[in-house]
Amino acid sequence: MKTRINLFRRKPQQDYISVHASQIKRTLTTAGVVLFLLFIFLITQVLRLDSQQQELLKKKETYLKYLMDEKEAEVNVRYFKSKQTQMNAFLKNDANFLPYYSVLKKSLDEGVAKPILDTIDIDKDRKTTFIVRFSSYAEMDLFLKYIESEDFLKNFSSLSLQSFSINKQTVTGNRFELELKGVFKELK
Amino acid sequence: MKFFSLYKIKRILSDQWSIFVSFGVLIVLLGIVFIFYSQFNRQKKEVELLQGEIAMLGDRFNTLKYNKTLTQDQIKDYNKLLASLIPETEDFFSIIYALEAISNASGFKISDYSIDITATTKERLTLTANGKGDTNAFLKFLQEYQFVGGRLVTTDKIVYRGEKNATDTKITLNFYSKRFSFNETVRVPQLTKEEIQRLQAIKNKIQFQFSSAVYQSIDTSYQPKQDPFSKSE
Repeated sequence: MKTRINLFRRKPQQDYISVHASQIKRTLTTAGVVLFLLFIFLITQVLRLDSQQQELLKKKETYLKYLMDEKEAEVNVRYFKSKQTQMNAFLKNDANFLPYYSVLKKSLDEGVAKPILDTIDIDKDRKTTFIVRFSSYAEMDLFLKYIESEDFLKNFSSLSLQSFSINKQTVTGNRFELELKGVFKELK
Repeated sequence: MKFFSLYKIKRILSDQWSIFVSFGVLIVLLGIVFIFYSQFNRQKKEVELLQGEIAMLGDRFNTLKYNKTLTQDQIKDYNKLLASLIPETEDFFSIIYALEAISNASGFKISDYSIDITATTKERLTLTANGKGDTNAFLKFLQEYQFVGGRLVTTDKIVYRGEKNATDTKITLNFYSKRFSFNETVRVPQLTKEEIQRLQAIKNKIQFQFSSAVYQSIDTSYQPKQDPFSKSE
């Protein structure tokens, strides 16, 4: 049997590119479109950011010019605030004597017994020691009852009787002495 | 056997040239997109940085404008007052003047005083003073001592000997001095109406000639150094 070769017959394409040409073209076109859209998006963003940057630079220039012109005013404000902060901090060390003294004086005057406030000592932690004097034992007794009342104690977070003494050298006047020690409640 | 013959390659190239051209264009497009993407990122960071800077500068700008309106350009006077109350360095003459002024304003006479070395620090000078005066003078003293002398005065402790013994009142008085340090990185503070009113009230209390105050406006015309460690600059 004779074997014949047909030289005009085309052989089927065997390479991958030729076989999948249409699929590759489709993929490349899709990728191209996506990249192009991405490119358009990026270019608009870059242009937007560029105009925003120019605007911000102008604003920065305006601010800097004003701040340079008003440099002294700014230093003055900083100085003011710094000194005022120092002042407020230092004022916290103050014993704030007057309001606590007034509170005690008012409380003593409100009682039935009217003692003489002989000595008073108040420090910055509101700790106080005071001595009151009486002309008679009856007055002192009244006062002792009064200091146990809520009206008197409302001003103190603690209060205790330290000592009691009689000045025998003073025949007339305020012979009876009470020394009290305590801590004032902080005034609002 | 040759897997790829030259003929085969040539044939693929001639048959499928459009694929190769498209692929080349795609690579170029990818490169352009990458370049624009990095530019976009860089610019975005720059804008963010700039926005932060603008926010900080805007804050300084607004605060300064507000402060200027609030103080009505009287801030130099307020600063003179504050410099007098808390001087940069201790000034003994102003302490003597302050004690005299407190005595005169209240009628409570400070008879003698001594420096308490143990309680004195770099920023605080503590005096122990003895005073004379009746109850009214003592109460007036308590109302006035903090500012009336033109120096800030606080007291840690007062031992008052009562109405009957007005000559023996012992007071601890503190006088302060502290340097002002300029720090540009700290946010410019916004002043409040209350602060200004308070200072105005103090100013009204003090019978003090500001022309004699040491305060001078701060010199801002300095040249910043490029190299902080160099000696010649």
